[in-house]
Amino acid sequence: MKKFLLLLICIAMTFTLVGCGNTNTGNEEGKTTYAEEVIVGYNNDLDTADPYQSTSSQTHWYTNATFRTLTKSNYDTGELDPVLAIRWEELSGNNTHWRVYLKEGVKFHDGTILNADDVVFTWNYAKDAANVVKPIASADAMVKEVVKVDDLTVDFILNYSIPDFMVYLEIKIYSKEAFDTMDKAEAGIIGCGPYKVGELISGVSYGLERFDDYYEGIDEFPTKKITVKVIPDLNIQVAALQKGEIDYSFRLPSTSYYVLESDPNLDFYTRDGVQSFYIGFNFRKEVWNDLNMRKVIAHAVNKDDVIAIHYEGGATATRSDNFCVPSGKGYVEVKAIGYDPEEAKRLLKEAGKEGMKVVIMVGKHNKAFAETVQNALNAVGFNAVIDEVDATNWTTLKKTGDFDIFVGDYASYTGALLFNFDRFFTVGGPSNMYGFVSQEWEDLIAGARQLNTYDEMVAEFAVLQQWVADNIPLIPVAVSKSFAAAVKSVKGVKLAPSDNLQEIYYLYKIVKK
Amino acid sequence: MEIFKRKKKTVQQPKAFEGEYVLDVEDLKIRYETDDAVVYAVNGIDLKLKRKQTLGLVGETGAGKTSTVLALLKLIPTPPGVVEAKKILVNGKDVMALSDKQLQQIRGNEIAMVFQDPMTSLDPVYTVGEQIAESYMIHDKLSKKEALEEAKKMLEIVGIPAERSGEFPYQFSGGMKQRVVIAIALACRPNILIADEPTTALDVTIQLQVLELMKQLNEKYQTSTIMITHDLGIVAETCDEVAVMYAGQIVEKGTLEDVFENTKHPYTEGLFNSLPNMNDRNSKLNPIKGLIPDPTIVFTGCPFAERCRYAKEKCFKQKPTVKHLSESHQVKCLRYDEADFKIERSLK
Amino acid sequence: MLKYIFKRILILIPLIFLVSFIVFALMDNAPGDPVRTLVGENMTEEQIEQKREELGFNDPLLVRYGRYMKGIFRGDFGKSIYGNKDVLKEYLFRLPYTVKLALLSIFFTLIISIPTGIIAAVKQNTWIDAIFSAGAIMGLSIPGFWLGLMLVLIFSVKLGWFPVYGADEGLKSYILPAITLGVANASLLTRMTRSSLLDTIRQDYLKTVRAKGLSERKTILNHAFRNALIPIATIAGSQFSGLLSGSIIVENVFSWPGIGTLTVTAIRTHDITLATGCAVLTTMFTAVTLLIVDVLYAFIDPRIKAQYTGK
Repeated sequence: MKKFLLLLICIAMTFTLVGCGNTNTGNEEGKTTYAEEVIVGYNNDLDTADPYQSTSSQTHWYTNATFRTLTKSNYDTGELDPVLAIRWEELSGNNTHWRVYLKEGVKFHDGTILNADDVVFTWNYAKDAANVVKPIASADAMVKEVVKVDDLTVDFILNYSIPDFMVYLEIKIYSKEAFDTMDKAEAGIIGCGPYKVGELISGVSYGLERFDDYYEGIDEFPTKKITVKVIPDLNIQVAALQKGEIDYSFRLPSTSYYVLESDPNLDFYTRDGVQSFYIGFNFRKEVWNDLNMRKVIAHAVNKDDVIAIHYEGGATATRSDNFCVPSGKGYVEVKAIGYDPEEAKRLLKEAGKEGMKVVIMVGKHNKAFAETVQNALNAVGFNAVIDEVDATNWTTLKKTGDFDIFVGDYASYTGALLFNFDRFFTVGGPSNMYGFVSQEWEDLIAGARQLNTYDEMVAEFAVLQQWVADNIPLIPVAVSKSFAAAVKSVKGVKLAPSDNLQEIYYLYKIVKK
Repeated sequence: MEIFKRKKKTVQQPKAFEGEYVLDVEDLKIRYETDDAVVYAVNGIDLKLKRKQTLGLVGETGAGKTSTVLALLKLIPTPPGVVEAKKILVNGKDVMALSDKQLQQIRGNEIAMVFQDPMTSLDPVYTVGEQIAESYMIHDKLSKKEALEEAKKMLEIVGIPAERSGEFPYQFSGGMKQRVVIAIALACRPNILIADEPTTALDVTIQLQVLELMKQLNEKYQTSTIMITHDLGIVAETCDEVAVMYAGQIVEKGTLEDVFENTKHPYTEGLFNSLPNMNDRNSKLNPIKGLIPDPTIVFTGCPFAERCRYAKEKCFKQKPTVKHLSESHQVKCLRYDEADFKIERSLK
Repeated sequence: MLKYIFKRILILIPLIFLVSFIVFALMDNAPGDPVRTLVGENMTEEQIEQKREELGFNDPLLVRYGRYMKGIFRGDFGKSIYGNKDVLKEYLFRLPYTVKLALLSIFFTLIISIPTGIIAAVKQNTWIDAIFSAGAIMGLSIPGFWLGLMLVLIFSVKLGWFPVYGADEGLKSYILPAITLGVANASLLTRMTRSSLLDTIRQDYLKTVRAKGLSERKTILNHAFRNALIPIATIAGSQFSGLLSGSIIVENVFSWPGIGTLTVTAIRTHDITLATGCAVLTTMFTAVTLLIVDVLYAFIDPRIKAQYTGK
């Protein structure tokens, strides 16, 4: 991804240089002209432009353009970048007192300037359940208080040591003055990003208009208007792209992967995503608490088969052995329990469970996945059946259903180090609904949280990743791939690993060179 | 182009025809060819209608009366119907040779028809005024407004108040509906009117009224009429001449006197005999034995032979031909070849 | 006539209660929790409870329903659970798109079915009749989404005559979705026209008309067809009112901002307020349309007009 951008920049520079030399093709100064508007296609309508009023992915990436956060996880480098927080210090020595320094002169869309009051206000607002959503779980458990030190300095006093606390400050900052002067609905859409809320036509389109007073200047943003058109049918989006009726889309059907890749009129982009696809266990059934039984499943399933059959031969996901996704912070390669059907049969026989019935719970969209697993399990001696359930019921069934294993997917938070594993494997974690309990894990994660420096945490995280690969509380199978396509005149494509992280505001369209 | 102000058109005078016979039909044969069988409805009849004459066409249901008159207007649907004749002349024009357009010109204009069931003869979605007016618009080329005016006049003539011209058929009783049908038929003053059992569907008291009306109008417009009926009483009331049909043939034809007083054909006799005797309430009814024959059968002999009390062997083998008993009276019966054959009714 | 119209409008009130209660109660009992889906996974159980309390979800069904209905009779249909949008405003914004599409679609349906139905009836049992009847069956069998996609592929992508998506380009945008919607209806209506006309062609009053000397063409059109119109108008009327509730499939394929998508999305996301609002508004609108169609009948068939006016 980075190399691609580099290449683009080189090409752009070359063109500029070439253009500067007088050519006789009738172009006055060799100046590139940009289109005023770029059109993006998406399949859902925007429910709200207020980042704290919805969990939908459209709200997420739309507000990526209109708001700025304090810090930002760079999904390409893995680094935590400063944004509105230009630098920070840890004052206590045990990771409980963080001082954050804010950038000066940042203008909000309502004309007011960013200061510490805005940060304090946003933090308190965001953890108040009266508002709809919270960006980070357990924010109130983490932080004791937030204090304004001066106009451009804020202190975060924590309840316990959190070495990677700055990661949790990737929160979009409101303008307090806006909330003081306007009503909630109007104030909640005011941010300090390079674009502000444009025309919103329900069910048809939602637009972004460039904010010319953006604090970093608008040189990087030649496009005045970015309009997102609502096109519910993904195949129609493909057709619209091919015909040039939209300029860019990152929400495309997996079946269009090869078509778009080979279309000469389009530029095609792809990268690894943030969704993990895995096989989970129902630990309430005694049998699955036996590691050897879990190993039978792990040895039985050929992950490459699943990729080939369910993920279009690798178009929409690639094989993964690690529950942590590649763009996740601290990702390392692990050694996983491999495909070995003979070993699976052996272990099964040892346990005396040949012919045992295994219920595979799956949502409709993962049917082919489940079928591949079913065949693999039957081949080693299980009696596997598929229980297809309605996705809207999933949450309830996770807790009460009578199943053995299930096919699940999970979109990781890439920045927070231990966050994803913690919520899945620790007792009481929000995603640990299947009753997994392991004292060994509890000790490991507690130990990891105690560590003092960030780097120590990263090293320990690598150990945790291998532990999961060895003890398989779930079996990672694949990680998603995201892909996008743009018409050839559109540049500035930054493809993020998940919808929530997309940054469409860099897009621009070259009209004349 | 409204440059020329439209002259107020008037309705034409009753049609006149100078020939002797307004209707001249020779050897009319009609059959219906269906997938299952061929139905021989009319098997060679001759009809001549003079000016201002009323001819009663009598016979049981299925005798072929309706088919005969429909052929005069060329309204027999020609699949499956097949119409053959030496000639069918209406006001001197050969109906079989006319184009569709020419036929449309004479229908309703020179020759009109009143149908049997007034309840279903009128289009339910148009007012009675509009339905009468339609005739004027087709033939006299009047504008809608003018036609509606004339229609109102016509309504008055048939005894319906003109204010009711805006009402729909469902708002009228059976008798009044029939008057409307008559008004439609006579609107363009045709000189030939065919009335197919016009009062059969009406109550007796209304019957009389409608027949009276028809008689008046016939007088007024000097129309020649064919009155189809199975009711001998009506024939007696309204007709000058009578033709008796059986199995698609005219078995006896003559003036009212000829047929009523001087009945010759055994079938006609049977018809008269089957009339209930008002004076002797206790006497038994006297129907003609048997049923009308199956129209798909082609007879070698006389079609009435199997029901005829006078039938002889020759009647089954030989087709009877027309025998003229006088200038006006003719009959189709083989027994009249014998010099002294008389039916019972003649003996009274 | 006015009394009749007034009575029909009065009936709307119990109808609205019935529909709204059914939708409200059904959605309430459906599996899935709108509050939980709304707030996502980052809230603790107590916070979810608090949110639920605040949104009023813990009150008993009848209380919530009563609150909702009181709002409706004031003209306030409430705010959607997702995005807090004014339900009435959302609905009314989308309604014209659906209505205009429905009108154009029924127009296509009528201009296709009536001539073909008449010809098929008049030329009954000939090869023309066979072709039209077979065509009608094909039209009924073709799935809407397939037809829509095919039309887009051929006419928008390959030929470029129409936009690929959206309702923005005026009449051009309406044509393909109107045709897609109209084909299935046209197939049914053609068969209906044919059979209705075959019925009326046999009627006695046509004999009277022909005997008047009216041309065959006018006999069929002015008299036979005019009478055949009654069942045709019934079917067309109910097809039109069906179109008014929006077609989720066509709206999906053509990215059409109609009320079908709005309603279905509301149901799918358990947005009770929005879903009930859509149901009630669509009911009202459909009922009024049906009333208009019924009144139009009175002009086609005078006997029906008499029923309405009580003569």
